[in-house]
Order: sequence, then C-alpha cells, then structure tokens
Amino acid sequence: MGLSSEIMAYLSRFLSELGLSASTIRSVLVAVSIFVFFLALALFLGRYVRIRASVKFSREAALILGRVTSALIVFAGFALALHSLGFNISSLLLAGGFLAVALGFAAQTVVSNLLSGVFLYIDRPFTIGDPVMIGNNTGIVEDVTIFSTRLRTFDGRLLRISNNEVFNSTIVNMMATKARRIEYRFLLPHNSDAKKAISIVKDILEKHPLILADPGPQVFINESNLDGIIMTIWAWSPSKSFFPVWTELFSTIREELIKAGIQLAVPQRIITIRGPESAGAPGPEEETLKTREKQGVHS
Amino acid sequence: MTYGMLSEGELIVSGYRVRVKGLEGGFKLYTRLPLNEDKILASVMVGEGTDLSLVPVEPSTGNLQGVVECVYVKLETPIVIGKEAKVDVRITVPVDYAIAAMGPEGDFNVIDAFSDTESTPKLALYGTPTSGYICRFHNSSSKEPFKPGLAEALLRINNYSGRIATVSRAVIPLSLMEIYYKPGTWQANVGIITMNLESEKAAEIIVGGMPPTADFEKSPEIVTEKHLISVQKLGYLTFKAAGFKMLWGY
Repeated sequence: MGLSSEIMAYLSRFLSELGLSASTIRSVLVAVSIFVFFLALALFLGRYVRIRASVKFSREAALILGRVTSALIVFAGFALALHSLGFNISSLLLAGGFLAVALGFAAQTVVSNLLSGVFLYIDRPFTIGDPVMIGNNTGIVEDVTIFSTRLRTFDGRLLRISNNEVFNSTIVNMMATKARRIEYRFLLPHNSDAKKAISIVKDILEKHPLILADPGPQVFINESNLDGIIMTIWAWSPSKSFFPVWTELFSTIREELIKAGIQLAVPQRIITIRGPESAGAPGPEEETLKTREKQGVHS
Repeated sequence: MTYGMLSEGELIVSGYRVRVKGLEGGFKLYTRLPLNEDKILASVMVGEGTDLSLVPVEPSTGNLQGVVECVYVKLETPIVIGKEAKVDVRITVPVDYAIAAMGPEGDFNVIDAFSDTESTPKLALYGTPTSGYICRFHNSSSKEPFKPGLAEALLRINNYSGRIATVSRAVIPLSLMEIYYKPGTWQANVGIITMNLESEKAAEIIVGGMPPTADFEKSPEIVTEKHLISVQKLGYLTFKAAGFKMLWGY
C-alpha cells in the first residue's frame, strides 16, 4: 500500500468524522474553481474593456465601463458557483431582485450618489486632470468613481467628495475655456498722470507674448474715490499659461509704473483731534476715516 | 547663415549664437547662447551618422509649445470677392527655427527649437473662449518684404458663399501646415492654402500643396497631433471635414 493511498484513507476518515462526503468536497472545490476562474476573467476583461474603451471614450467613462464589466462577470461567476452547489439560480435572481429593492430603499444615499455619478458623466462639467472649484473646495480632479469624486488640493491633500454633493454644488472649471481674462485694479493718486500710466501698461501688455492681441488688452480709468483713481486692466491669456502670466504681470506693471515716477496711492487715515476751544464740536475727539482697504484694489 | 546643414563653427541665428564643435570619436557638441551673454540656453551632444540642419518649423516653440494650435493671419488689406469668384493672394506666415539631427534615411530628431527674437510673438483667440483656438497672430501685407522668420504662401480663395464676401483673416491649423525651405537661402514656403467660403460665416481651409520649385526640401514637423483635421467641436455639435473649418467668420 502506497503513501498516497494511506493519505486518501486518512482524509476520508477525517471527512466522515466531520460529516462531509467526498462528493460534497468535490462540489465545493468545483464551485470555488468556477468562482476563481470568473474572478480572474473579470480582472482580465475589466482591464481589456477599460483599455479598449479609453480609445473611444473619456478616461472616466472607460474606467466605469471596465468596473461594470468586472462586476457583472464576478456576479455571473458567483451565481454559477452557487448553481454548481445545487442552489436554484432563478430563485437567487428573484431574491436578488427583492434584495436590490430593499437595499435601494435602505441605501438611498448610495443610490443617489450613483445616479449623480451617472448625471455627472452625461453633463461632463470636468474631466480628470482639470483644475476645478467644487463648492468651497479647489484642486485637480484625480478620479471620478461611481460614488465619489476625488480632488487633489493645491497643497497636496486628497479630498473625497460624494457625487451627490458634487452634482448639487457650483462647479467652476478653470481649464474648460481656451482663454481667460486677467484683471488688475491699481489705485493711483489723484494728481498722477493717468495717460502716461495707461500708455506704460499698454506697452507692457503688447510686448508680452502670452497676452492675446485679439481680443486685445484694455486699460482704463473707471472709478474715482477719496483715495485716488482706479486704473483697471483687462488682458486675455491662454488658460494653460494663465497662472504664471497673472503672477508675473502684476510685479512687472507695478515696477514699471514706479520706475516711470508714477506713485501708487497708499490708503490713508486722517485723524483730526479737536481741542476744548472748539466749542460746539460733537465731541472732544473726532475721527474721520478717510479711506479703507477696498477688496481687489492694489496700491 | 541660412537654412540647411550646419557646419562646425559659430553662427548668428535670429539673435542667438549657435555653436557646433567637433569632438573626439565623431561626436559634435551643439550649443545655443544669447548674443551678449555666455549663458548656455541649449546644449546637445550628437553622435556619428547624423548631420545638423537649421530648418523652419511651425511657430509654437518655447513657451508657446502646447499652447498654440493655429496661425491667425490677419490681412492688412481686406479682400472683397464676388460671387463664385476665385482670388489668389500672397501671404506670409510666421515660422520658428529648429535644429534637427538628420539621419541618412531622412529620419530626424529635433534637438532644439526657438523663435525669432527680433519681434515678440503675439497670440490671438479665434472663436469663443469655450470652443475657439489659441493662434499665433500675424499681420500679413502683400507688400511686406520677405525676411527670415517668415514663410510665403499662396492663399487661394474660392467664394462659394452665394454672395459677395469680404475676407480679412485666414486661420491655418499647425497640424496641417507643411513647411518647405530652400537650403542655402532664407526662403521658406507653406505651399497653397485653399480657402473655400461656404457661407457668410464659415470657410474651409485646406492646406497642402507642392513646394514652389523642386529645390525646396520639406521641414520636419514638430506638431504631430492630427485631431484638428477631421473633427471639430462647437459646443455639443461635432463637425467632420476634410480640412479645417473656420466657423466664426473670415
């Protein structure tokens, strides 16, 4: 009697002690094999579908298609594995249907996120890699899954926002357009030579290679207040180079204006102190606020 | 200094010093420096079996690379064309410079590219910010004398719009442009650009033409994305065309 026969005899004794027959074990092994096979198939076909779909569709759509394919194959494998164990698939599917309805009611948030994901795909307000602002969150879109959108913030954190929240938020896509307008507002003193300042700024903008000639830049004085006059600058730049141009131009314009002797107005506060001799004054001290920092006005 | 093969030594090209120095083992060292500084802007070692050539390329090098999609040629004098009429106009198109390492079988590798320092390249938006194109802007005059940094082209306008039309601009996608140069000269040419006026607002641009004479050679292409050729999007609408559609007026 060989060693293998001894092992087999030992195993059958062990199984009979556990109350399992050899045929039951065989069925379980077959079911596990089926499931493992379908799992491997799901991984392979999911990847294949994603790669093929990415040629025709967007990256997000390809990802979703790949994941749906994998999920369907895994479900089919699971159903077949159960069938090989003697379970009735049709009743399983029926039970699955009822379960799905029950789960649907129980997991409204999940379903809502899923549907929002689908609507976001149809609406396509952004694609992976776009810099966006979703509600109060700003960053680069890293991934769009069926339930959530992942943003990498500019300081390197990863945010997960549920698709439902994304769908209901105001979305600003900073790369959806080919060109963006740069806007500056410079505060100049009342006695400054506005024409000279405009001419200097126009010259800088015309010489800058990343400021569009059409639509051309506009420089004008459109506001006057207690502090001075406000010179507004509008210039268009390709979206791809918007940020470096925006940051660079401000310093260049400021430096060139100062170099040409054009002072930039400084917000002032004049405090008038009246002594006791000023009878009839509203109070011993009166503070007159002449200026305030106005948002967006550079000085 | 002209287009064509670069020999050893130092040459002045459009405000830069271009140096080619022979090294041991058949190597060549290529360097590019500003005129008045010793700051190296580009430096590449080239092995045996390649020749270095100065060639004109699409005007999208340096910080314009990946930004510029088309050339926007504004005609200094607009042209009025009658119904069903054809007009040929000489225009100029800006080109940048490239140093290409050319193999014996016509294969090449662009090792450096730069634009003309004598004038600031300007950009323009053709169309809307959402669906338009970022273009290299160029004012073209039929009386403009030819100079390095420009390529000549023949703009052939066919008026199929069914009415008298005024043409003041032509937009040429870089992905369609083929540039030819005459070695030993500064002459560059883009061939014939056909502009078919289809309606009051739309025109089709078809680029493709033979070089003016047989002694012109084809420049290597640095813009290889061909997506602009066949499909264009305007909002949710997608257009398929043989050439490039100018959808926002001509």
